[in-house]
Amino acid sequence: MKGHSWIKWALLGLAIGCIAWGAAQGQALATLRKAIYICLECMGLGA
Amino acid sequence: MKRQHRRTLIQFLAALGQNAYIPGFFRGVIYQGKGKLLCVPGLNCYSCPVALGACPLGSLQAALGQGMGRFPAYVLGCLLLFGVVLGRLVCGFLCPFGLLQDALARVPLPKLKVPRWLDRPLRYLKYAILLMLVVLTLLRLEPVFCKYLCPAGLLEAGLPLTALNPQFAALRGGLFYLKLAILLLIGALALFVERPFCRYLCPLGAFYGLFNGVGFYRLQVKESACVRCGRCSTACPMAVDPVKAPNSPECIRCGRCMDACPTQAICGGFSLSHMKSN
Repeated sequence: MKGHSWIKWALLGLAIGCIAWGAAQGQALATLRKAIYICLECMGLGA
Repeated sequence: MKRQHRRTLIQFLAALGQNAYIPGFFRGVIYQGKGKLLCVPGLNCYSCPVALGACPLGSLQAALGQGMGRFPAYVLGCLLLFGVVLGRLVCGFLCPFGLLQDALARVPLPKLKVPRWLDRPLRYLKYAILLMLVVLTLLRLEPVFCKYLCPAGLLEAGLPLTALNPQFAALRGGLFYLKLAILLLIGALALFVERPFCRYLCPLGAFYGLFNGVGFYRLQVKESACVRCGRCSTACPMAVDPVKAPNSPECIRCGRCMDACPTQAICGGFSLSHMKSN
């Protein structure tokens, strides 16, 4: 991977950008709203 | 402290840190605080009564299937961040389901070596599951991985909540027992084959593995010190040869190869700059 260190920095920048943009769009709060309810499917109790 | 003891300690602390809402366990309810704004790195069901954070795979499926927006930027950003910074170090150190498999592997039973003709194609299964997770969740608008396959959801949420809360117990049906059979099968396999879920089925490990080759955490083999004894590949729980592929997508960064090496030819760590191959 010699000479490709910029890739990880680009990916890190992309990750931080996505988190910031998504949080600004309210997606973090939407994640919270979903995650505070018991997911019946996750428990194998869905229809 | 030896490296593997230190790793076990970190695994325990990580599992406890992600699952520290003790009242939930006694009351049969789940944590509803702001900790669930954050995704945790490993497979840790957010419906677990003691979970403090949100499972990234569950959140991704929720984002894809519940109309949170056209592009799930927040969850994908979290996954990308964990992937590029830690890669599969998450599997080796931070995932509670990995800890469980490691514990089962310590049961003194003969360990099986999966033949190469079976092992190779099965390893691609987790990538197919990752792809299907995205496609089917978009098509069916339901968390298909959580619903039909995820053993962590049943173990961490389904079993404790149905045991603690009679209302949930009354909802047990065919799907519950199907997932129970999957969980028991994976548990039984883990007694004889190391990390079977991580090797063949985990879509989260598949995703993080994509970043092992380009991320910040790297393994390096000093060619001049390596005596080609093969002890590293024999010690590897994921059947990786670290000399040939130190940053293989399959490597969970557990460090057993480093412990097995008689000449300390293998080292691992975080690197901010580029690294030489091998």
